[in-house]
Amino acid sequence: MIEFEQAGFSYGGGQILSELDLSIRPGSFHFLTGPSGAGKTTFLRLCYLDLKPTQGRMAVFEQDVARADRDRVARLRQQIGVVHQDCQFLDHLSLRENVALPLQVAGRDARRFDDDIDDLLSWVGLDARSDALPAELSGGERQRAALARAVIMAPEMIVADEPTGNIDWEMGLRVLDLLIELNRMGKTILIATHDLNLIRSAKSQVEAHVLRLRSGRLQQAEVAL
Amino acid sequence: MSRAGVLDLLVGDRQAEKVVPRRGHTVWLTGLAAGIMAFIAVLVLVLALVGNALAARWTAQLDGTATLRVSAPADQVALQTEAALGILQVTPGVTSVRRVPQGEQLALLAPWLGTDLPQDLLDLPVMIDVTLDDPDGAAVQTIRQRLAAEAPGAMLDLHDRWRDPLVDAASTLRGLSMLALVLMLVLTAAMVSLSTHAALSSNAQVVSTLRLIGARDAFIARAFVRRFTLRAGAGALVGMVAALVLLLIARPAGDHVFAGTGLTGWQWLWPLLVPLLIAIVALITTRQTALARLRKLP
Ligand SMILES: Nc1ncnc2c1ncn2[C@@H]1O[C@H](COP(=O)(O)OP(=O)(O)OP(=O)(O)O)[C@@H](O)[C@H]1O
Ligand SMILES: [Mg+2]
Repeated sequence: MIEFEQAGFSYGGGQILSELDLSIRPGSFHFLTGPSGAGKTTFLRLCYLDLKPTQGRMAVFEQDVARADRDRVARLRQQIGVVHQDCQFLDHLSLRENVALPLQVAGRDARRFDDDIDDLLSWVGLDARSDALPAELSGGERQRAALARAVIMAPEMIVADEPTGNIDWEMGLRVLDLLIELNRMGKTILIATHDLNLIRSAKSQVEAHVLRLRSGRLQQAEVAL
Repeated sequence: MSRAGVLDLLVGDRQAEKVVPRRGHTVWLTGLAAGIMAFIAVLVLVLALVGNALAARWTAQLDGTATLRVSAPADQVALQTEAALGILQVTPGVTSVRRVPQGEQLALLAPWLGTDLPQDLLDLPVMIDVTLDDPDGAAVQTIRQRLAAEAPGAMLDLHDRWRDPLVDAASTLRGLSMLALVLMLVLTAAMVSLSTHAALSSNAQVVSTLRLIGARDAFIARAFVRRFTLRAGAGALVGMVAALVLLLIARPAGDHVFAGTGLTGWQWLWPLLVPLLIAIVALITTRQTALARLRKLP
């Protein structure tokens, strides 16, 4: 799915990530941890092509990202569902319209997916809130809405940046359950979090790999159960 | 395909437009500016059509009549008149020659000089009415050359001395109007381009979110294209109607020199071109501006 080969990244100042060597296989479940500011968001942004590595090589869906033009990048992003750290909704559209947005952006007629959108909204427990504006949603509702939007295109890969960041433990578990369910359906999952309890909870249900970012480098980490 | 279908194809569908929030004055101002632009453009266009009609009318009045006047020392008049008549009679392209009798000339002068003048007090020149089958043909040249040699006191007047500068003025008017129209369209493009820049800036967050969820630049551009094209087109339509109403009210009537040179019949359709052109310019400009600008984003 995603290959890193001696890849590194810098915003222009210091080196944020270096010597990344990693292959994320289809159907795998990865956690990415590390202290705040370690570069987790930066790493995920590389994965969904919001950034391109400044050193080394990186391929997403077998495509060399260095050679992908803007339209190619857009098409690749349509195949990756992303739950952004700050959710990134369009504030003037309803929850339902936001969830349907990736379909529209990909040139599909969103009206033909009405049933899918309904199913998805009830799957994340938001069927009653579908006409609410993003500003009217609670933190947990936003996270679940973001997850619904991330999967509407039935992507093979889902990348989530702190999907349980601003929500309580119960709600966090619910979001995690949804992600585990997606993984069981064969989707590749990559989650950035510093919540070790969440990782433990996941490890008891699926085979999850834990990656740790420290001083800009990746380590395979063991998390005690 | 339905009308909405054609519209969607041209300027993007309503759903695509909705991804960009309706806020800010840029779109509204674009409509207003396009309206004023169309108003002026229609007036200028009508001016050009009037110039055209005047030029055509004056050209048609060059109907082939000419006057040959002989004024020479008394002992030469008869001789030169004979020579001139001889030249006119043998030149191909001359369809009729008629010497104007003195009595007729006096009658023409009567309004100014009265009828009771002693005839010999006036030294009237000899006048000959000439009809040519083609006033722009070679005959005029031939006649003038031969007159110069054989009857130097004879002058051929094609009645065009008053007309030519007017025709020139009319075609200059037409040229300047066209230039003004083109400049107006350039101005429209500049204004729409500025508005598009402003709209993209004020919606930077929306644009970046759309990019993040996989929108191609063309998709984002379309959201702006529909809005600016429809708004500029609608504004221009209103401006055009206002200009036409004004023209209808202010239309010169009666025996005026401009009478009959206002818009007639199908000419009323010409002004429709103005909002159409403005909408097309808005569409192309918004699209190109948005795409160029989006390409520069990270
Ligand atoms: N756009 C940017 N320009 C310059 N530096 C940046 C930018 N974004 C992040 N950084 C820096 O890069 C480093 C890594 O940031 P990043 O957001 O990837 O950390 P993180 O691990 O996601 O942190 P957190 O757990 O707080 O979300 C930080 O030192 C941050 O200041
Ligand atoms: Mg982060």
